Amino acid sequence: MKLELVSCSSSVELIKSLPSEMVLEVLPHICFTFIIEGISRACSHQLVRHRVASYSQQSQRYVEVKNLDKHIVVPRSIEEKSRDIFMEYVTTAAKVYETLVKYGISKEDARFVLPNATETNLILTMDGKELFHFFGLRCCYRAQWEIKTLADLMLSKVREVEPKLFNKAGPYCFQLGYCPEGRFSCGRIKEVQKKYETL
Amino acid sequence: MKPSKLFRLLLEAPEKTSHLLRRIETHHGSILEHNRLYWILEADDSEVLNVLLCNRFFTFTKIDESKWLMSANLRSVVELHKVCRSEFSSKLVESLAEVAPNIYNSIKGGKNEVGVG
Repeated sequence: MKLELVSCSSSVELIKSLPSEMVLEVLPHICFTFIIEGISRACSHQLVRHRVASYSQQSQRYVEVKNLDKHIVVPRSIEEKSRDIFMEYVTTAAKVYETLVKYGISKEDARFVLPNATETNLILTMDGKELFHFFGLRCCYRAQWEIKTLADLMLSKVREVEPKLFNKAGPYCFQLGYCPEGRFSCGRIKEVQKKYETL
Repeated sequence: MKPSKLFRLLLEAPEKTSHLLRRIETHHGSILEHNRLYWILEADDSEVLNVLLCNRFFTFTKIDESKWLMSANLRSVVELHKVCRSEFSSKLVESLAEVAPNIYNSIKGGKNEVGVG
């Protein structure tokens, strides 16, 4: 996974235009644009559920997938316990995909055999308010590992450029001071809060 | 080509890639969404409501009785002008001349070639 923060609107000038008690009102106005490369399609499916954002994702209709075995995301659990059977499936999927394309099947149809592990690249733009919500859900210890890794990386990048505005951004237990997950809580609120104070 | 490589190319040699840049900007509505623009606006509540009724993707923060911080992405500006052409939308388009010349020229040229769909 590779993440780059390629553009962001500085809050400095915008905050100057607002009364001092309205500083946080700047959040829905400021935007951050990231290039995200090498995440799985499984991860991007979760990402695009955050609808208050703009996405430009690499097409599988127009871009042919080549060397699938080198462009997949392998979860650690599979890497450790059953890499062989996983790679066997990936190799078969790649062969079927290539054969279908060779038979003249369009890429948009041939891609139906590609696994969720297939890497994808995208450009994402999200405003500050939505980022707080995104971090609240996806930095949580209960979030799926790949999108959590991505959310943590995004938070680090955002804090580099807007440290004051985003020092309280993180999982909801860090933002709110309590865990809203109820009986699903990881029960590690102190540990989580300590981590996100210094991320 | 990976987006990061394309981004570097556009950044390092904009003159060489201007044709590509123009094609991307004017043919892919979703690309426009990655650009956000800001204005300080003098308007009353009903005028702001009218803008929001035309396009709900504009964001407003009330600064005082008649002053607003307004922001929107480039696609919303283009759509507002296409759908609810008005003196207000024309003024917004004028403000694109410097920051988004390709889009501005496409709109002013009347070719209606900026793809927002």
